[in-house]
Amino acid sequence: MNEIFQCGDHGALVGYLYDECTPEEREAIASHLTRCVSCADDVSGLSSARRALAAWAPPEIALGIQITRKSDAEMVTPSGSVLSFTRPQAERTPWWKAPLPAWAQVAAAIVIFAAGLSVGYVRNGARPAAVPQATVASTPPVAGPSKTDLEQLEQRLRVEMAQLAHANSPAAAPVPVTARASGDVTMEQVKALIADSERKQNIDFTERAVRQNATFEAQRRADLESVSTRIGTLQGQTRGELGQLQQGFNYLATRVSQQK
Amino acid sequence: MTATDEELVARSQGGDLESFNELIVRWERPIYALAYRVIGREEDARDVCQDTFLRAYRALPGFKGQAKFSSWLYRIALNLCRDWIRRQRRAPVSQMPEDADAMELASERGPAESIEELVARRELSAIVEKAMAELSEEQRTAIILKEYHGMTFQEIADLQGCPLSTVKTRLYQGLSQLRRHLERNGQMVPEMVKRT
Repeated sequence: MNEIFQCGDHGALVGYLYDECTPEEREAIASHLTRCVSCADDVSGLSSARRALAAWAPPEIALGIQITRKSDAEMVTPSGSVLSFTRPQAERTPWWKAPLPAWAQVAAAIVIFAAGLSVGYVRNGARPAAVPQATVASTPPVAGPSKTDLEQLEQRLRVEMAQLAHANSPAAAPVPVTARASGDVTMEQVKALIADSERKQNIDFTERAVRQNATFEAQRRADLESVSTRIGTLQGQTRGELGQLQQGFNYLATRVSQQK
Repeated sequence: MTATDEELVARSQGGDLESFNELIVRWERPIYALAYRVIGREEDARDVCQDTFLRAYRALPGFKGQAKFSSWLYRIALNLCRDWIRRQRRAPVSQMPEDADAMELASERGPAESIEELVARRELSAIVEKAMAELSEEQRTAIILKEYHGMTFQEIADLQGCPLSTVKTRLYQGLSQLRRHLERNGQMVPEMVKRT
């Protein structure tokens, strides 16, 4: 305690904590803290609370506030301006809940369609003899789709897919997209989706593991306490039984010595 | 060269809308963060933030520059927060979601932060948010202005309209209560927690 700082002066301690005090005060308080356990504990506890505050962050959101001139808007200011507020598009939805983009739907359609064609092609090629002769005779032979047909179909679907993808992305540059380039872009998007999904699953798994671990640890501690209590009880019972045996033995020894 | 707030205010007062929009871009996030921490609701904080700039824009001709533009904005925002709390007649709510989206978590993660550290920080954040909601409005506001907006005791006293010594008392009592809450929850606060 000195003239500059009085022990227990909370205001001065807060000034010291935030470094908003004169150098003399700072020196006096620092010196006092080396001697006074109570004030030192105070400062230490408040510093700890301040460190915890660092973890509290508001959620990241898109604000996008701006003043625009619109005469027909609701909140018209005296100067004819209005505050418009761009809200974020929507709440973020998990990827598995989000509707499939057009390009993905087209890709899925291609895969299913191609698989169907392939199955048909294989079946026609593998079992030509199974077709009854009468049928063959009465109907003209139907050839399966050739490789060229499939390539043409794929090319056509890719073009349509490119057009769809282009129509769905207003921010895209207005340059013509070739079917080949679009295919590459699609592959990139699919790869990005897969990578995103793997990353998400990884994070999800780790988070669950951390929580599971915490639960397991709590359960383990509870079990240990329970076991410890039981052991204590058993020890108490054993001691009691031992005491009774001892008493019985003493009694018998006394009786034997009396009989002698 | 970046224009100062004062220059942008002067241009805005002269009718330059873009200058005011630049001020909004500069201050919307701190004002939103202030509103969110004081009232504790994301949507309402967004509305308070929006309303703050609308009111500021309307009152701009009357702003004579006695105080800093930011202090003036903070005052408007705090008044709106106070109105909101009175209207709601309740303490701020803790809005931490139970099951955080993993992608959201990943995007919040700092470059050198592991998932485990991130989860721990989220948990601590939820506890702090809850503890802060239990403080009085004056204590909470004093702590928020000091910790997250770096104001001096005098600036806080001016904003809260109270003596400087009262600000210190509010900070001391608020932090002490927060400390007790953390200790009750068995929270260890490591030295390496970074300010975000």
